[in-house]
Amino acid sequence: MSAELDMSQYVDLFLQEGEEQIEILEQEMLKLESDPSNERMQIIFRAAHTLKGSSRAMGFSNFAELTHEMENLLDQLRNHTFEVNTHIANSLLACIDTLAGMMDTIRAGEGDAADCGDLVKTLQEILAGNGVGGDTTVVEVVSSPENTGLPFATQIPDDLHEALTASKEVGAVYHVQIRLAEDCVMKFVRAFMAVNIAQESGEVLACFPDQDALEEEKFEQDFELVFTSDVSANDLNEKFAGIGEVEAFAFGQWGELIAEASDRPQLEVVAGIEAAPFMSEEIISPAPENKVVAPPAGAPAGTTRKGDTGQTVRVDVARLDNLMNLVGELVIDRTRIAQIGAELALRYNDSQVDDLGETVSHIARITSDLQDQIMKARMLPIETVFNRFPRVVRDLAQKLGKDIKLDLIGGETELDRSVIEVIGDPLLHILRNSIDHGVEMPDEREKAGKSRQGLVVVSARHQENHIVIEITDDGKGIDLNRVKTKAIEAGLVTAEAAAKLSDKEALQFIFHSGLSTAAEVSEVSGRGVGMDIVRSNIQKLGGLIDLDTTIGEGSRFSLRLPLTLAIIRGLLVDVANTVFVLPLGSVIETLLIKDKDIQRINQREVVVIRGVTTPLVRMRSVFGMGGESSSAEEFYVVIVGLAEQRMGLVVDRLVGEQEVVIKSLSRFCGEVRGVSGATILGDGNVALIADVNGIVANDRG
Amino acid sequence: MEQEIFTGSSEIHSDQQTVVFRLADESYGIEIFRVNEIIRLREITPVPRTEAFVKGLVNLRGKTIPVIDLRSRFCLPDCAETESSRIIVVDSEAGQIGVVVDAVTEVLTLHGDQIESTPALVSDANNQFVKAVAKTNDKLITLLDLDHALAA
Repeated sequence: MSAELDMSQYVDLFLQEGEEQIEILEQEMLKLESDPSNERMQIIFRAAHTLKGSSRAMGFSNFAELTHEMENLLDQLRNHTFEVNTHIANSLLACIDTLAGMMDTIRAGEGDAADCGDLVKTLQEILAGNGVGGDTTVVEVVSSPENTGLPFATQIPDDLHEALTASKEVGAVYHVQIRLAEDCVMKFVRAFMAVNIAQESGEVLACFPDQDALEEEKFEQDFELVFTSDVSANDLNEKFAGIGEVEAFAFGQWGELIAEASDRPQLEVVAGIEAAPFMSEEIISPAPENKVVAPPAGAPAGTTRKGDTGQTVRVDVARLDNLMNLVGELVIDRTRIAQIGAELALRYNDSQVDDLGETVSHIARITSDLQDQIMKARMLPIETVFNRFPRVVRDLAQKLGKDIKLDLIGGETELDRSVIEVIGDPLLHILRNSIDHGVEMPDEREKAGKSRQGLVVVSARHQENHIVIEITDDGKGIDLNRVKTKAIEAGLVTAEAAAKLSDKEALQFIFHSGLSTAAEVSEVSGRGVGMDIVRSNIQKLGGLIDLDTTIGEGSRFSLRLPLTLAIIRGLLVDVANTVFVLPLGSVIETLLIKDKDIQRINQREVVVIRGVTTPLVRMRSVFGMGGESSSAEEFYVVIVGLAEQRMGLVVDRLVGEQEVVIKSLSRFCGEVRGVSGATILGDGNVALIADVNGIVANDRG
Repeated sequence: MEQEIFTGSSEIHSDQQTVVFRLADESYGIEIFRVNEIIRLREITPVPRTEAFVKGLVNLRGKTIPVIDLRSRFCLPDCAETESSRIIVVDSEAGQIGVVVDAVTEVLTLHGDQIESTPALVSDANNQFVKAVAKTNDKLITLLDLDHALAA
């Protein structure tokens, strides 16, 4: 047995497809409790079956054993020997967790290390305890053979039958069916031995599954060949018999083996390691870690899946990132060329310069298009983040003894990978808060005249250039008085000031560090994620978070995020002869004000604009650049906004508007207050991007 | 990357290619394998609230990399940039970093016997930046400990 064969390329494929199956398992398991349809049962069973087959082929015996037990249990469930209950669901979910854990260890190169003993026992107990006589025989998904002479029902479809039968007139046509041993490791080797025998002795007419599938081991144990040959039947029989690790095989003349016309099944492919056709997601998405791996060299170029969602191709994420970088540089150069072109046009009045101008315009349009397309290619539906929620909600609700229904709306809303990667944790935190502190216990709810089951809705939708995500619960709402009291206790505000606060302002204290929420649940504590961190993380993304609440009725958190983090429109301003970029998304308007318009209130400079008192911040001082521009009488002020907060940033000059590619401040510089990143302008120089949200927030705090 | 203290005895790095540059009137050297490229001076965008020796960021073919001023780091007097000033782009733990120097003079292959550890007498605050000293026919070259020199 060629155990030395390098399996590593297969491991990647195993991990990738295994993760998809595990995700399906989990999703459907969760839905099964409330909606135990037969179809769902079948999906779950097939997923477990697929996992068992592929893990066996890879030699992951631990994994295979656990999935084998799961499969047994699932088989009884789908036959309605007994029905799903909470204990069964919990056990299966625990198994799924263990499987996911093994995926991690396999990825880390440590094999399928895990102690499944307890879980296996639990599953077996469930089976035994329900009066079923511990039936541990493996149930294959292959339709059971009706013709007892054969190892399995043939998979050769009808139309081929005719053709093959016709070819019998010309010469001897043979049919061989082979079922490999369950523990056969190098299945494709055995399969090819059989194919070789057929090819060497004659010509292969039909092969099921086809040779590519055989090579990739996309089959369980069974395959069959139909071929012509001049070699004697006895010799052929002997040769096939000589293939090792075969559990059963049948060889004979074509037409003899298949006695009845009735045992021609639909070609239900015995699911091996195949991308299951019932997956409804785009292939560039699922796995919780958003891992997409390029197919190993042997696979057909681009695993295409025809169907309702059209053809898709798996693309390595690194490639998309590279493309994004390249497009980013193109954007920079496009601006540069446009600038140079404009300068040249001023200097020369020449038809060639005109041509250049035209070409530059064209390039600019194409670059914009390219940019759009690449950004869209990097977009993933927020579903990938939402998929984590049902499990979390279920477990947490169970733990707290609450009954909660989770509605996920707008999962198809797309956003950039970079945003998706960071948005999950903050959303989870808010969700946990809603469940922990928002939704009341069933008894409490009943007393309040509500349904015992609480409802939490997470929705996502596009709004202009942003994505709006809302988490709404119909719990008890937030008691503003308690918040104010806690704030006073924590010394964040005096009692008098607190009394004057509007409801909106009082709510902001929720986001304050130092204002701890009651009894943190164990999953949350220790992670250092508080609402203050959630908010600052969201602001760092250039987003906003807001909160609405009604006592007794519930609360709603709204998040507004930019669709992509990589490229933004910026307003260029001059501060002390240095160009800074202000994200246009935060800019509300720009004004020219006179020195005399500036007033002082509580030692803060403010200006009154259309009746609204707006605090001013001098950018020079924000960036620690000394000196005021000489006796200027007029100032440019950029009014920026953060939720309802308004602030005026005083700059020296307005330079222009430009699309900029965000580059990070190198790790060397670390975190610089007031600066969120850097970019390269059309003139080739580096400009800093001001952290407007941070500046406003800091000022308020 | 491990930095080894040279003891003068011949060892693995006995033949070492070194980029030699000038700062004030002194010659310094960095191992060539740490050097990515050498570029002309260009507009440096200052970053507020960073240490004095961090001059700012420059555009290196679409990447923004930080640039430091070794003179300031070594507490040497400032001097105006000249035609010969260059930025040596080196690899470090925190990514690529540019180092402003007065001039890059040459790339030498130093032999083990030319390299000595710094004499104990010549110890001052700047010693941590110095790995060893090399002697050539006409000058002394201070071999820099890049990682210490770049550390914030």
